[in-house]
Amino acid sequence: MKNLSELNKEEKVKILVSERAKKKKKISEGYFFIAPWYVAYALFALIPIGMSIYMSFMDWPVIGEASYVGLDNFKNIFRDERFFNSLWVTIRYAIVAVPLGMIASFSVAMIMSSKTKGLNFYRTIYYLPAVVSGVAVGVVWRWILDPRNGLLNNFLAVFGINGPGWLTDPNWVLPSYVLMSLWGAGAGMLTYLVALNEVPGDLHEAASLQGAGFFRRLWSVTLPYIRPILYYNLIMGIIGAFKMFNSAYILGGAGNEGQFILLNIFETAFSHFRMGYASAMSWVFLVIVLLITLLVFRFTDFWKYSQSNEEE
Amino acid sequence: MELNRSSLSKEEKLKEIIRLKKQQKNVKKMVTSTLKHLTLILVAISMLAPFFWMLSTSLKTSSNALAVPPQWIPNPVYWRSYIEVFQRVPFLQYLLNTLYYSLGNTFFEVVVSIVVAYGFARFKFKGKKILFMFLLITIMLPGEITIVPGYIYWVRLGQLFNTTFINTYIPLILPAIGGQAVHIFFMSQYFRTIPKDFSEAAYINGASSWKILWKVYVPMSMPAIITITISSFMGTWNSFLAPLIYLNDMEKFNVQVGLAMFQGINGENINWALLMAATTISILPIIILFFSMQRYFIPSNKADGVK
Repeated sequence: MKNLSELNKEEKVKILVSERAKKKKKISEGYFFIAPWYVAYALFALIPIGMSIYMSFMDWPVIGEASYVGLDNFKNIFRDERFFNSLWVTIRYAIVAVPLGMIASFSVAMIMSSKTKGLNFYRTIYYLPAVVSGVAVGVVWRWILDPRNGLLNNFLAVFGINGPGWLTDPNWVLPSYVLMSLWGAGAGMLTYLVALNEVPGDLHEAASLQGAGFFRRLWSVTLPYIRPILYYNLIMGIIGAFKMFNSAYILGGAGNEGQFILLNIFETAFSHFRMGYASAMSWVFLVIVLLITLLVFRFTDFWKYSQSNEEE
Repeated sequence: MELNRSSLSKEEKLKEIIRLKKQQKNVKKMVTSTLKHLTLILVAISMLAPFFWMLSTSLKTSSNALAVPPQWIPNPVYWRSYIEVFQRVPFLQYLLNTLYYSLGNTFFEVVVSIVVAYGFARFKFKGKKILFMFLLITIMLPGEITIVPGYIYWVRLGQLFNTTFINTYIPLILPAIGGQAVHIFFMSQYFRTIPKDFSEAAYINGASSWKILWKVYVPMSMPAIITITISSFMGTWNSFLAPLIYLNDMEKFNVQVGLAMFQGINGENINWALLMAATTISILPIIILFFSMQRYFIPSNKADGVK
């Protein structure tokens, strides 16, 4: 700065101009750094997405000529019992498994959030199921749920309970999936644990001093404070249900009760080779997922939360 | 009691009450603490039970695996399933394929995500906000929408270049060259916490932005980089749907597809001991990674929690 004032006017202008040029150069540089993602996204996502719009108006077998069918695919979807079944399977699972998982993992997180010896040990164990692949989880659970030789029914037999047929009994397919999802709920639990530790202790103290009991404090202090993470896990849980594929592919389930929507799309495309119809189904799938997401956004401060997070 | 109490001085009375209250509190504390640990241990056991069951079955003979009531501890301990897996199916090939696939994918995803994140964190440019918003929105968009057209896309792309990309790893690895939106978001958040002074000092010394990224930003962000590396590697190791679609030949399979097919081979007459041995092998690398790198896996602050 000192230097600058000592120079005459002409030289000052020169320096300032060159600095501005530098700044301009900087601007273009930023684009250069971020370009790879946008190029790759355009090439490997946007083009296929565009194609899928086109394909959803076509009858598109893998081998043979594709032909334009207009809105027929979409009309057929709304008459397709298989589609509605898979939608129902998915929604029912989301309605049961997501809140149950949230309640269970939140309760355990509450227990853990008070000073606990061996906290790291528990955290490690609870997180473990989340790192294992969906295929391995599916295979292991298929064996656990085996009606005759499986771990679960043998365990129930110890108490004299005659276990159900699980995946082989249409009525027990949903509970089977819910059980499995509860097993994997530990990862979500740790996000609650992190959030719970951020609830200021003096808030609790103030509430206790005013005579608030445990549940009152839970309702009026803790829950409002950690609401963002609850919403976040709710959305992710619902989306996760709609994306359920790996373990559904392995486990199946009697009476089409394990046919989740994504599995149905996959089979339509790659077992029945109806690519056009499967594309149309994907779009219906996408619209449903987006609607649910928007709905949750609309009624929550999720966006505010993720933005405040962004500024950190 | 009444008499006794009144005979004591006021001070002593107070002391007595405090003592009793403390005792009561201690007993209450002990009971809740015991209940707490009991619950936590029960949950831990149910988390571990499936792993135990998997391991135990894998070490049984195929007939002992079906014993009723079941053997909790295998007797005799039968190791041969772990060898047989490799003889029955090209499981070693699966593992090697998966390793190439995971390393390739992870390399692109990590390096390019770092570069893109740097672009967002360090530079000001027109439309940055909208571009970043677009990137965030794609995270919310389920990528599953591209499954069906993606396949046709790669078939056509192959025809265009007079070759075929189906039954190769190209459709699985090439899309990673743009980095990964979640990682980009995560890294750019991390980069923003690095004080500008460092890069400005380097800038004044004539270092290019590219050099500043690798000499200043990257060394200062190792924990975040390790986190996305692990997440990338694990994601690829565990990926199933895309390989299932694009890979046809047995010797091209990755571990997940190989495991799924191995499970499906025998229909209802599954050799559970063998299948559990295969499953154990398939998850072993991830389990080892998890235990050696735990602190990068488990969310312990707010930013991680949102991942």
